[in-house]
Amino acid sequence: MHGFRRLIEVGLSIWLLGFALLAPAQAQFRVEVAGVGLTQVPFSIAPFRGETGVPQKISAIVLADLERSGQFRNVALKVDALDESARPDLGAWRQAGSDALIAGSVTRIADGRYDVRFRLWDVVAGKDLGGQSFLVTAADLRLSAHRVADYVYEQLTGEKGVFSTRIAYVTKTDQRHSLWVADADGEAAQPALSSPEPIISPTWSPDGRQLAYVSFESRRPVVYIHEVSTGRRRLVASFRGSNSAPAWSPDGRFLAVTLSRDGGSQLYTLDLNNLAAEPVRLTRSNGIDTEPTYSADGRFIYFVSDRGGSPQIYRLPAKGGNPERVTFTGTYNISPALSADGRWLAYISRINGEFKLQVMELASGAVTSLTSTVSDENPSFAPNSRLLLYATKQNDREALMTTTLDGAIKARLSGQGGDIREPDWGPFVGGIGGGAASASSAEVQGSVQR
Amino acid sequence: MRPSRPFKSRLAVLKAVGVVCLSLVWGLSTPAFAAIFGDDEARAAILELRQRVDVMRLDYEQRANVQQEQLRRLSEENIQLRRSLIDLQTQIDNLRTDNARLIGRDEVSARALVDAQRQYKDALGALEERVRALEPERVSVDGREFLVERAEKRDFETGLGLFRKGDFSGAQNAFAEFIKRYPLSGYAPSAFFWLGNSQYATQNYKEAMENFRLLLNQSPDHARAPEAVLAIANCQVELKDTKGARKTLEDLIKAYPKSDAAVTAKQRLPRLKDTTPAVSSSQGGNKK
Repeated sequence: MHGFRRLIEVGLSIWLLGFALLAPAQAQFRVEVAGVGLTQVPFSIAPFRGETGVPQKISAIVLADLERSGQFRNVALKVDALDESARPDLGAWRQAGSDALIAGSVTRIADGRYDVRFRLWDVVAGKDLGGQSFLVTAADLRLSAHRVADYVYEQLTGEKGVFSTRIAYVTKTDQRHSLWVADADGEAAQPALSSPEPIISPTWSPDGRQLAYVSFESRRPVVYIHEVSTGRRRLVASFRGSNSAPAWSPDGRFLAVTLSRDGGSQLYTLDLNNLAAEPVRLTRSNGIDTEPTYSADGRFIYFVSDRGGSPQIYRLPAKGGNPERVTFTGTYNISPALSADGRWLAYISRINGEFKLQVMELASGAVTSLTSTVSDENPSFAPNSRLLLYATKQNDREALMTTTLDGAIKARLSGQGGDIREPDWGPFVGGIGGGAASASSAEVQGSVQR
Repeated sequence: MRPSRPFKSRLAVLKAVGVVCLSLVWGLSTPAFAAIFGDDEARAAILELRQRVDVMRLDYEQRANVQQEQLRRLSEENIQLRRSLIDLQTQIDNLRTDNARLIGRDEVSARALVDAQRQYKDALGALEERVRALEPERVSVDGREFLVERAEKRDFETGLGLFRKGDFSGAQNAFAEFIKRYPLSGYAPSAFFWLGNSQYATQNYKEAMENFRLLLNQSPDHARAPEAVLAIANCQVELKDTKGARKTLEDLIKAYPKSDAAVTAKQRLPRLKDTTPAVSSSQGGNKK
């Protein structure tokens, strides 16, 4: 009970303050793939012609992306010169056991931008699977590499890739709390907010342009909505008591929040088009109701409540109604996350004192435990519903991890030892350029604003 | 304890009395006043005053005691009240915890019930499936409804399947076996019909006629009866019994005037003038 209150209540701040780990100002991440999947596509990628003189090594980024997805296995082959215009002898690659081949080039053009091109071959069928080219600034080189990986992923699996999406997370360095926006591989992080007081529960808007989060900068938890590209923000919930756990409705019109303005912590919705209106109260329980999250179809809000004596996950119609309990295994289930395809519910379960990431197939109610770590937190799904992002401790170090839904492939998005938590995976985003890739920072100086 | 107002005023009285006493003592030693108070008078006054003071003190002490007693009782009550309030709060807390636990248990029970219901339904479904294999089944054949065993239906359909495939000797065996095994089956008339047709197809006209007749004897109002009569006529034609065939066709028209077979019979009768066999295309029973 105590742990639960501590975790989900305002107490979060105290809990977070308890971490005195050092994080580098900008964490450098590395992918570590552990575990072996059974049905991985063996593929090869040639170094992109001309990429050695370029700030980003495109082929290495594509390689890491594909490996991290768990659906691809690299067959490293030594090649000298191969680019998108080559006519490779696919027979040789077939013999080497590779099913797909990627080659490309990076060229700096007159205006200083880069021309990134690539082509994909199906080695087995001896077929050209097409290619693309991007004209990008140096800042968008990584994004173009992710787009290459997305293309390859979609051609070979038939599903959309998530490599060009973004994630948000929070770090704490000395007494600075920072909210970061990074590529889906954890790299190229840019600060969106920095504050001497804790920042928690960042969550992406459905259009990927805004983040809602809880900030303690005014010494008490209030909810902000922050436009990532400009750094502009609005205070959306600052009621008496605590304001926490924001969650966007899929249409972006409503924000579900936990407020304690009427006594205990209960769920409310805010109409983002009419913030002057009274929040609509969704739950009335004797317990604590918190951690709301919308189902992808917007019909339900899943949340955590201890109304039944122990924290469990419930769901209720998004417009209000009778809650229905969803989790029945164990006595402690928190932090619900729903997949965009509506099939899966991920959550954290305390089992023998260990906090473990679980995934439930909603149709059958079958639950699978995904990790061997013991301090898992804050799961969120990739927008293609194939990967889960979560925070955990590995070898006593804070880490962000991704895992496939069968738990077979895990990748660590890890800093050089730092306090990294509260990750949230953003939605699919639009095309390249237009500054979509960068975040603008807002700095909170001192402790009291507004 | 803080002195109350009456107590203060009583003190003032006592002081005043003291002053009076002192002045009396002083007065006694002063001859000038000797004349004003006599000794006895003064003593009496003092005694009286003393008495009054004693009474007052007694009264005061009594009241103080009563008050103290009241106060003690009040504070005791207060302590008790506070204790019961704490107890009540504990009870509320316990009830709340119990309530939450009961809600939790109720949720778990409701879920268990749903699971049990689902399992029960699944098990029942599986059981029904298994039992259905053993239970008689209602079938509708040639306009008749009746109950058949699973095996009975299967065997009949096996025969029909063979017939449709054109395996006429196989069909003969199957239907002959069927009639032997299920003589009282609802399928029996149909079985005779198809047996006869299979035999006709293999040119066993006599046996065929026999089986068509068995059908007619057993159920003359069967949907296949007119076709069976027509088939008998066909057999007779094949056996060059033109006379018999004509007779049969006339009987058919008479017995089943509204049947399709009767229409066919009417068309065929004029052509049976000579002894040439009729065209064998009119094998009435081949359509189901």
